[in-house]
Amino acid sequence: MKCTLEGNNARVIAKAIQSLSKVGKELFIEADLNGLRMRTINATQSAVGSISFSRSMFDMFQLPTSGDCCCKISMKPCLGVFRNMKQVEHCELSIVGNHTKFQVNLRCKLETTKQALIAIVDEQNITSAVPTDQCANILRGDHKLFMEISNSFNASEEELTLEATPDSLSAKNYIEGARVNDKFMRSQLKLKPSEFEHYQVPEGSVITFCIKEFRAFLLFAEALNAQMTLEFDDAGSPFIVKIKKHREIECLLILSTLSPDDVSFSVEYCPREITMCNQSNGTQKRKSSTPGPEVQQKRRLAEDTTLSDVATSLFQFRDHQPDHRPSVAPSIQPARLLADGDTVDVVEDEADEEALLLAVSDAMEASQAMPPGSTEVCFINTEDAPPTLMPPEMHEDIAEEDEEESIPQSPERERNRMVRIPLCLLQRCMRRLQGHLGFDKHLIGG
Amino acid sequence: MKFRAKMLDVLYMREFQAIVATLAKLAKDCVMILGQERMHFIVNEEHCSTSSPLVWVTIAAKDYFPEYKMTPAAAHPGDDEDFIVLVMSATHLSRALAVLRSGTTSTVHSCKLKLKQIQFPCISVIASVVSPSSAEPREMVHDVPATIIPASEWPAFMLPKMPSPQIVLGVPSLRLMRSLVDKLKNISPSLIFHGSTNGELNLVSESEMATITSRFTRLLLHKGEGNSSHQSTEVSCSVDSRKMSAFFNALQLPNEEISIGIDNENCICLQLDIRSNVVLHSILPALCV
Repeated sequence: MKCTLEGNNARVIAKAIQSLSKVGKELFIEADLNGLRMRTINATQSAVGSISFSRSMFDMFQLPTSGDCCCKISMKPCLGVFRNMKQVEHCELSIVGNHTKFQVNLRCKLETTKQALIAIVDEQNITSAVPTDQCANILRGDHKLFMEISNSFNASEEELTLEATPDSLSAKNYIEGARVNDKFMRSQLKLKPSEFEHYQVPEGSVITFCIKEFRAFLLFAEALNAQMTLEFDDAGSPFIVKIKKHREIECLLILSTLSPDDVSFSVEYCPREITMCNQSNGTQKRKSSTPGPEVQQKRRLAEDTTLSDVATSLFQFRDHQPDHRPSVAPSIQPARLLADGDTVDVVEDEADEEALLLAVSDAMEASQAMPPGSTEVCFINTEDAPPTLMPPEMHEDIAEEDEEESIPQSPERERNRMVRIPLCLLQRCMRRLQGHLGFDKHLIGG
Repeated sequence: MKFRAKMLDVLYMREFQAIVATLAKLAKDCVMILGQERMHFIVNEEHCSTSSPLVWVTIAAKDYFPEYKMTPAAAHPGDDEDFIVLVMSATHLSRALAVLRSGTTSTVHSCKLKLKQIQFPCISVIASVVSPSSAEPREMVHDVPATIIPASEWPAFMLPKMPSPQIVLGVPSLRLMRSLVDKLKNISPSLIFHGSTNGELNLVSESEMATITSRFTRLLLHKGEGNSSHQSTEVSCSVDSRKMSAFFNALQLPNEEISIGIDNENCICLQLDIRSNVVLHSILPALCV
């Protein structure tokens, strides 16, 4: 696969990657006849973001003989590569080395060329069988409007509740009727339908979703200067955010929402649970929830949620063996234990990485070998004598969040299934982690 | 117990927001005392805070709030000492009022304060805002949780007693004072104020290496026991320079003039007249050297 873009479009792709990086830690790239698509899924599998670029954005677009291809790369090296795009005039993306590396060639001003080779982790892709065109409630407005809504709430807020009625829209940081913490400041912004470009709410609905991923896509909408469309039904069913620009760029963010069954309207503080819907037939709403990795001392997870209940997830991995749990499962379990027993002082906006940290810590314990993914970045100045030698490989010690790490020296790429880690091992890591939290966080970065 | 107040003037709203922002920078919690005619805020009552001084603000309610209605819990007959006393987080209140500050991006039509009980008592700040992208006003509601103090505990929360300084001098340049105190706090932990009825104020900061004196002359004497003879009275007091610096750095108001009162060897009281009936006071106790 090989495609080239000119500077401005390359900058758009960079902005897309920045937005996707706020959602998930891995980037799934898919190229087919229609164009290039970038997807990511968040740690709790409660949000899937996908940004598609049509073929017309590319100067040259070459697919392999099989017709399409896909690969998964780690997000962190992408961020590093696409960080400074001001001087870029031309960008070339390709898959080289017999599907082992993703190459990014940036030709910049002053005859400078930057080349980066990002290791391809494997060839997984995510599919979501969530129907995206069947929602009853549709809101469309300019990004400025949603930006103002988002700015009305504190940056540290985690969830946003929208109460939509045919006559008004209320954005809140709490759920009406649910009990809140003693010193919790409630905030509410009331809007009128006339502020939106398109306001279609046939019946009322109260829906709660995670604002972090929403803000990530809002950022991209702002970069594109485009309108955002929100589509939703009622509590528990997916919340969909769409951004379309010029028929060339299409973005889709699917978020899972809080089901009213999980909201405690009683004495207990509202436990945080994101309910995942059944995929494929979308018939019943399962009550089983995936405990989010957000470990906050005040929140307690309901006793009846276990991961073994999550037989189906909202988003499937292609090549996913049905008898294996989703790869993120092992890393979520210890997060649940943390909530019950040990409490770790995790900064809220890094709470998402908490689950991943545990897997990392285990990976580091299990083997001190070089992680499978490494990024080689070389700077070539084309004016000088042609570089015959590659500069010594700079292996950035990116500790991948792969659970595949547990057996060193095995060629991870060919392995599609994830290895399950014994729980006791993770428990030990968790205790050790409390002492090394700062160090590990730095490794994961993000 | 009821409380409702409404602000309509943009300037007053911005000032009110600036006052609360100042308090939020000084301490986490603040005491709000609502009287029939006046509203007070007190910060750092206990004197146990090592970083910020005691500050209180008195606001004549009718100026800021054209609509101001306060009904206390139990009305004592013929007693004008009926208050509602609340304790709340200054940071929360400041964040709730933050929308009043955005002058250029959006215009605020009105701001209502209401005492409400949802799950716990709270002060509801309801702002009606018109943003440039929309033609209609939006309503932004923040509910700041507050604790109501019963009448039996009021004595602990009353306004501090105004000290009686011998000399009060008016310093016209607050910005100058702020940067000066900021630099002097690094020299020595204590700052000595010397004031004289001649209209002179000296700030002395002493360390092992150097003694730095800053002299302000030709200051306006607001109050001073001047003798008929030409002999001038001098008073001095030594205070914690970090607290002083914290006070100046917290100020978010655009005022430039400040009155400094010195009570000989007792305390320094600072007074900022924001407008005719809105005054901010602070007391810094003397350091025992």
